[in-house]
Amino acid sequence: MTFHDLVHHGVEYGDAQGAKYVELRYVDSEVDAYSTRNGAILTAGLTQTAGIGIRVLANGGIGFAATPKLEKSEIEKAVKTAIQLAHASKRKTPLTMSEEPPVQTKWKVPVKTPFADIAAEDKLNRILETDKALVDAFDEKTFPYRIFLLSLETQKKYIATNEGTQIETDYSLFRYVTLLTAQGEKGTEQRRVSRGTSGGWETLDSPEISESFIEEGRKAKEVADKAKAITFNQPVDVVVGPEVAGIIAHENCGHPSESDRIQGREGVNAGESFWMDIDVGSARVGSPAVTVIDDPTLPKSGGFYLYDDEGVKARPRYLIKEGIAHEMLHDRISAAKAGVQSNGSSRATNYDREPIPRMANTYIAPGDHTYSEIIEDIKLGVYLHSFTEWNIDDRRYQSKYVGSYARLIKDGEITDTFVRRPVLELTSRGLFDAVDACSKGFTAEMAFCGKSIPMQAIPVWTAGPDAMRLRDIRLGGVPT
Amino acid sequence: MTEKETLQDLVDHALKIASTDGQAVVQAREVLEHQIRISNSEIDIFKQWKYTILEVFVAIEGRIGTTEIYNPTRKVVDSELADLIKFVRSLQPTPLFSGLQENIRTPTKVDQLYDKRIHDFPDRAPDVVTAALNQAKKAGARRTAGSFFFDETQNVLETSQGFSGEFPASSYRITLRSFVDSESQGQGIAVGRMLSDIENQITQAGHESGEIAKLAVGGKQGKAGTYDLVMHPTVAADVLGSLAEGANPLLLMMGMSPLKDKIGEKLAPDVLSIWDDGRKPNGLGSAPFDFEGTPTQKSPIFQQGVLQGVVHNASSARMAQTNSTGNCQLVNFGMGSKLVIPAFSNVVFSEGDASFEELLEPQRPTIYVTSDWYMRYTNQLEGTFSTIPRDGMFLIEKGEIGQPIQKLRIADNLLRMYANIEALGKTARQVQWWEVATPTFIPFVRVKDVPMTAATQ
Repeated sequence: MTFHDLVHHGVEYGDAQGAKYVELRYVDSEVDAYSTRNGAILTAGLTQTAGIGIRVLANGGIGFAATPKLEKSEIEKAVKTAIQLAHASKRKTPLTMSEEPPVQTKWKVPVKTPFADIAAEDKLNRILETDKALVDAFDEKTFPYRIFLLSLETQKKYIATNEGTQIETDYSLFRYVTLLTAQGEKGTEQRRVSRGTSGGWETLDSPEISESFIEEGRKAKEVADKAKAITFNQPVDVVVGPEVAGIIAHENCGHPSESDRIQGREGVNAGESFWMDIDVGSARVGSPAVTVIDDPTLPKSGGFYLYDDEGVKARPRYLIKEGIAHEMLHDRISAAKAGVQSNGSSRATNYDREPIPRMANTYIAPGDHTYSEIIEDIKLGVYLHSFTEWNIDDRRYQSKYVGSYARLIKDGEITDTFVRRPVLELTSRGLFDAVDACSKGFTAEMAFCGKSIPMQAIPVWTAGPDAMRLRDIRLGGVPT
Repeated sequence: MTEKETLQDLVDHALKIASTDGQAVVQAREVLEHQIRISNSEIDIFKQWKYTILEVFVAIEGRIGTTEIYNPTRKVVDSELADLIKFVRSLQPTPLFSGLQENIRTPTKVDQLYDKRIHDFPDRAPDVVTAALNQAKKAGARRTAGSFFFDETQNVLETSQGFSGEFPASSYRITLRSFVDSESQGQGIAVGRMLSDIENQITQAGHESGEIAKLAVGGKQGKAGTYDLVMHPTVAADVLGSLAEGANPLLLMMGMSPLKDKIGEKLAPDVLSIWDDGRKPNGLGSAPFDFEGTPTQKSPIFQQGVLQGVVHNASSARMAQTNSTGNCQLVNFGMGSKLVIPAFSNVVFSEGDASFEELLEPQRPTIYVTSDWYMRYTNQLEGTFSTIPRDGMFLIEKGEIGQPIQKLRIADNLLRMYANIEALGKTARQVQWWEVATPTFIPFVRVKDVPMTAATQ
């Protein structure tokens, strides 16, 4: 039987067994990955997984079973198991799913050169060449620890439900990461830089990515050479670049807007959300200068998709609109609880994981200012190009970002004074309230967002304008 | 032919192909795993995974590579290993691999790895969860969330150097988190391999989560400053366990540990000793042998505060001119590849002589932290980091748990924290949950002079 036939058979079998909702998701994933340390290969691997994840709604409960055995009898067994597990849940409050129109379609990530067409040694050479270029630009002693990882993934996916949805997908994505330690006159500076887009080898086949790694290495070296601790006795203005704006969009807005957190479903590990205590749709969570959008449909993006893993059409979600908490990220279960329609946020990393509400590409919307307009009226401030350590509490309210490449702003200009590890330790509200301007421009970083248990690390973009200005910030942290 | 014989046949077949031109390891796992997820005191989803996986490592003339084969059949094994061998041949040699373990020894049995009662447990599991939720409610919870895994695995391993071994294993891992209101929470965890006391263990976890949540009600914004910390084992495992796991040659070579060049140095007081113990009964990381077939052992990492050594596999041991400690593991690295490296099995901390009440005795301003998450480094070579307490956090007042506080962050340096350890509790608990990946046996720990920070606005 083809995978189409197996999936259809499983759907029909589950429907005949009396399940209210039956969803089968076939995923065939191929990943090849390469890593190096200081110019020598660390390891390489090939991973192929194929299987079917079965999710059913029966007797008000959800059951899930996953199997890599692509045989008719095994699919029947797994469907039966999923229904039994749903019944065993014995829920007092039956779960339901929002009503959504069934969809029959195909979509794919445009690919010119499939990863499979490129020889393994050429892929490995790509990262060895980047490592060599970094060493040539400086020397071995400048970067005593240099790690590179390249991961190339293709996926074939087919989803069908007993409501009539049938969606087939071809997907392709690369992720290219470096972990660099720069040795300087004042110590070491460690940087993690991540790049990635959806597409084929052609998206990787340009010098821009390697050049960006070398540029970030140069910046790390400058920090290790020059950065000095500066104590500010008064609030200062802070301008953050797109890397920092992007992580803020993701952590301080994207995660709090996830409906499963708001409804308590992630309470055990990933946590809940301060949005559970506000009126989404009317509550102010930032200044009017703040608009945060999550958009899965951005071409070539890390979090690209056109239909989610429940078959709902993807669209941009305005999570914060001009400072007002505007919209949550919903799947069909959370949408039903909230009495709304799903906005297509349901994603799973592979066939053996349940789909749950996730971000895709989350960004702070650019404004009308030029970069120089953002800087020019600042008397005293700090510019944060990049960050090292970060964390946030499980209600997504108490956040911390430690600057890496950070320079003093004085009298409207970014100076040559490097500020050592300035700390933005702010509440989500305190942070977004302080934003008074965003510049034009849009730059994205690749990230893998971790959530749920078992962990589902899913590809996303975090992005922001060239500059976002925060007024009157008291920098925090432990004095050094 | 039994299922076990089928698995053994496949492993034999895979090893024959994989080792044709060099060295190879084939590790097979036949897994039946379940998970129950809970929120708002009800089961959200009940899951089952049933699969067989072959994990294969191949080394040809210094070139190495790995693959995973799910649902293996002879035909699939032939095809995927042909791809892997072609792939490995196209790579360059790595200086970090110098050959598998050559000294083949027969491993001895490790106690408490498998409880056959796990086989019938799925039918009982929802009722066990319900009992734990009831206990959490009785202790004060208004609602409880949770995740409960339980599994059984048949493990088979063969190497091209002549090792062959197998063992069955079972495990359970539950985390329960109770809420009285959205800002008053408590956590309880229970993990192990044996089911003899599972109801009691899980009910206790429910009780602890509810009790801490109730005590956390009325929490006030904590004041930033320097405090002594009494760390619940859950917190100590995350924070102090992180430095112990830095005693790893690969992390040292990658600039990801502050322990470089510190072997022989006294980094902590006499009360602290730490072992890697791959043979700890009931330990989630225990096994009779490692990924190369080397028998596992108990290895000292810290003795009376002095860093003694690191964990090794055969390759790292050769580089250090010593013997493997039986810590070779196949570890995920990045997305889609795996490293064959030394890694900890169970991190085991020494037990001290302080009762919980004695740990709370007032000396300086002290905070009791029951859980934490999101530990991140500013610089791993330095050990500079911060992490966020979650769930109940309390000021210690007159030797007792006092005012609940919230919204502080631990921001310190791991080397400084080790030097500032003051006392260890009497009884270690096994910790493993979302934030602590490596099973860690650790008691309550008191650390002095820890900087705690708070949001500035």
